[in-house]
Amino acid sequence: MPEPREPVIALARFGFRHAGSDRPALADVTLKVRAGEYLGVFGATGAGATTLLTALDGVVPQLVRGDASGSITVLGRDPRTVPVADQARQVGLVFDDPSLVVTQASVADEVAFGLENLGVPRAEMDARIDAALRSVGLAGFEAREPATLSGGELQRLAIGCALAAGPSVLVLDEPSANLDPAGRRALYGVVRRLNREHGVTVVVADQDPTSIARDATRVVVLHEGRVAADGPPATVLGSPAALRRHGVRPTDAAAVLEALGVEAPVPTGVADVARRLAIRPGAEATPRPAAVAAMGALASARADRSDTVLDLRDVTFGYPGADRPAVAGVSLTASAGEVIGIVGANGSGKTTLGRLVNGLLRPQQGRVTVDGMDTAAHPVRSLAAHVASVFQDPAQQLFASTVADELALGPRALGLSEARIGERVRELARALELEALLARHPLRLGRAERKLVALGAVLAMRPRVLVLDEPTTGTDLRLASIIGARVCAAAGEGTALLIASHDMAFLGRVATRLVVMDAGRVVAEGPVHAVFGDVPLLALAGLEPPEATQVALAVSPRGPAPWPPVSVEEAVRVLRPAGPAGLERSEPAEDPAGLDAAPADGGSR
Amino acid sequence: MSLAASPFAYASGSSWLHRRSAVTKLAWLLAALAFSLVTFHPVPLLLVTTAAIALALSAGVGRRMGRAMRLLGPLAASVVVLQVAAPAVCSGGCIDVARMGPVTITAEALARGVAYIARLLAMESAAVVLLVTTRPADLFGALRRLHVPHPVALLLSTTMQLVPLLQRELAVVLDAQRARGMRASGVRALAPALLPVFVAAFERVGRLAIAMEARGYGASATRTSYRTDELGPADRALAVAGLAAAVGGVVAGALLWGSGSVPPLVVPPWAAVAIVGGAGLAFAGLIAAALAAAARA
Repeated sequence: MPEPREPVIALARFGFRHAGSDRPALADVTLKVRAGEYLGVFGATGAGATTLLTALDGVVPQLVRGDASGSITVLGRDPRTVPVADQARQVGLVFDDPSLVVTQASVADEVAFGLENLGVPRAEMDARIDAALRSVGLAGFEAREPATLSGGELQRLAIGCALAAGPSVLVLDEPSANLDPAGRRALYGVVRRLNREHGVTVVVADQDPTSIARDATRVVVLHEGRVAADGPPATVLGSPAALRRHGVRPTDAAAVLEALGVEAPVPTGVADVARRLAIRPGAEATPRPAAVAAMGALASARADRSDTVLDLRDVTFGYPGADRPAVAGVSLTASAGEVIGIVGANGSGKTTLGRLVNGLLRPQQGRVTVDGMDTAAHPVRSLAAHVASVFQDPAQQLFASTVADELALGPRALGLSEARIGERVRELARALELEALLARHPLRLGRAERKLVALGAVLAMRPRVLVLDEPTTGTDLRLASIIGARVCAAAGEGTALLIASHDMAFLGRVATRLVVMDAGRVVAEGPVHAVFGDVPLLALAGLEPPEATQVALAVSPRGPAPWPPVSVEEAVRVLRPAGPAGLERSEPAEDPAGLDAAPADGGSR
Repeated sequence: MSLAASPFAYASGSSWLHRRSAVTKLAWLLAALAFSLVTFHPVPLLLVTTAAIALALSAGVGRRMGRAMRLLGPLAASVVVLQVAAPAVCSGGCIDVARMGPVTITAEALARGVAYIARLLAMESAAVVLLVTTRPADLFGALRRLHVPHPVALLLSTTMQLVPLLQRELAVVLDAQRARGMRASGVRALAPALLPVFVAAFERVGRLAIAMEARGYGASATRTSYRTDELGPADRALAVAGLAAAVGGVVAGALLWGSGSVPPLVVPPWAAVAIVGGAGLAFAGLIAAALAAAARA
């Protein structure tokens, strides 16, 4: 790794207020980043991370209008005075939406686009395109049409496009938000290599700290536009309680240790956490059989219900012109109250499956029955009272002029009385923390709040079956926990939920059953504990279990059924030292301080 | 979800027409547009349309052209309806040829309507041939080469991306309406759908514009070109011929087929009713088909 040199980025009391907003997006931010640093930026939605990152490129305030104050210097120049397009030579910017990189007809042309813009002579282009594509692992993709690439490949292409211009700073704003686990791993692998081997200074924001915790040399936490923490990842990300106070999600591994009573800073990676757990007193007694048995109770209680509300029989669907069906020979049933997680790489057929369930697509072969109705025999509109769905982009399903009307729209279509409608709206607004926004126009809300409104709008219909497509993409800690709570509440009221998601930690918290899809087929299906416990099978589909599961498996590869735990809460419950005779700390079973006496292992790393 | 490609978007291929320089094709498009704008005579205008269709067939994009014209034809037909409904050209006496309920069809309005259709079809078909056989990057390269100012090129590029984007968004939003138990057909469904469609599309275009600028689009440097779109001798000759055709077309159009006035089209009443009725039906059909397609997708 290159030695730290003079700062390439320096902000002094930098602030920014969006035009028309009364609250600053950034305030008093003072920050120096040296050449070769890898800076992770975290913050809840609206904390200012995007504003900070795009200010480095001059997008704020040149293209996003507002008032900037204080000083900002990037590579010796004020980005406010350098046209954004010219800044591309110095700073490469990568956004959260992979499709934003698609402007040309081939991958090579896509990289060339930036070079052409910057007036790079034709004679240099081939070598630069080659080098850029090689460094992001896309050599051999030159002639491919960008629109046919996966999300992960597109994000790496976006990095390649930025790199070709030869910037010394790479800025990535939630680059993995829309990626499957394999795509996320490959993306962060590329970023790490660029930083370690090529000395590129990296500034990256992400809601998920897992990848960054491992690679970053430094972490900044923003809270309401201000720097709330700044330091090495081991210190900042190793303090889960402090992170949560700022609305930032800790790594699940760190959360497990914290809940077991280890004092901050705790290690943040799976291997370090497992090592730390293995040497604590009482470690040999884990997992606790009683606690493990309790884990499966909820799942089996729900699965025992016999009222099947969704039945897919050998369902096949292909889009015109595609070389294979998007969904092939899928059979699946769901009972009331079940929460079924659909996992699989991008393009494995998860979204198509959801559209087959809500009737927007009709199976070409096989049968889909929802609440006793064959979807092929009923118009989507009459199925709507029985099956509802939340799309990935909430803006596409908001139609009313106020949030309150939006929540009332479904119940009104169902013909409920105004009194009942009002009651449901109030109830949902409270549960989703939307009360202050009821009079606002849904499309004037931020993307995260729109997501809540869209979820509320379908929950208001109390459907028997609810399909959610990536409900936690780009959501912060608060939002993800509200969504998780509503999912569990809906299941408790007897709704069967189908959740297509890349967020394994979220599914570990809410799902009772998992369906693993690969290339349109169901390759595995079973209780959430069994599927997340089968690491080799998940790996074949490009997936991995939640971090909490990885920690538990590292501590104890085997355990009584339904081993392993699939969420932080479960992992904590089964790993907490219990009171078998002969151990130093035998009582009480719930003593969270049980770990405090663990020999120091040299602190966190 | 995955809609068929927009009929107006580039269809990859390697035909002789695909291989022609965008500059050459622009020269001929200019000729077709200039000619279509100076004349009102349906016969030469229909010749232009025929030539464009022949070109499309020779480049193997006939099917695309067919789909594009199926969308544009009915749109052009609306002109007849409008012309007949509001005959503004009758300064002196107009020749009444038929009556359709409360509307009187005059020979002048009919002639103007038909001429406008022919003109629109000629211009549209020529433009479609260019769009379908030219990579957008090459087209913008050519525009830049011809010193079209950068903002205009950016405007063109975002507009071209906006149309298929709006189509896709509309399909998803209408789906979402149905999934919410709302009506998703007929004009009443469209009204509440339009706002989310435009909001989503414009947000996206805005973000795309920022993403493109962050990649140097519009930088102060003199733009270079990856695709060395050098004009070969054949392209050079064809481009010159295109420019000559543009000049020749304007002169010939003005001299031979007059510019301003259109001779009244005196036809039997049944023919007038058939033309106007057919155009009306085509126009209504277009709206119905667009809704059905969006709802089906």
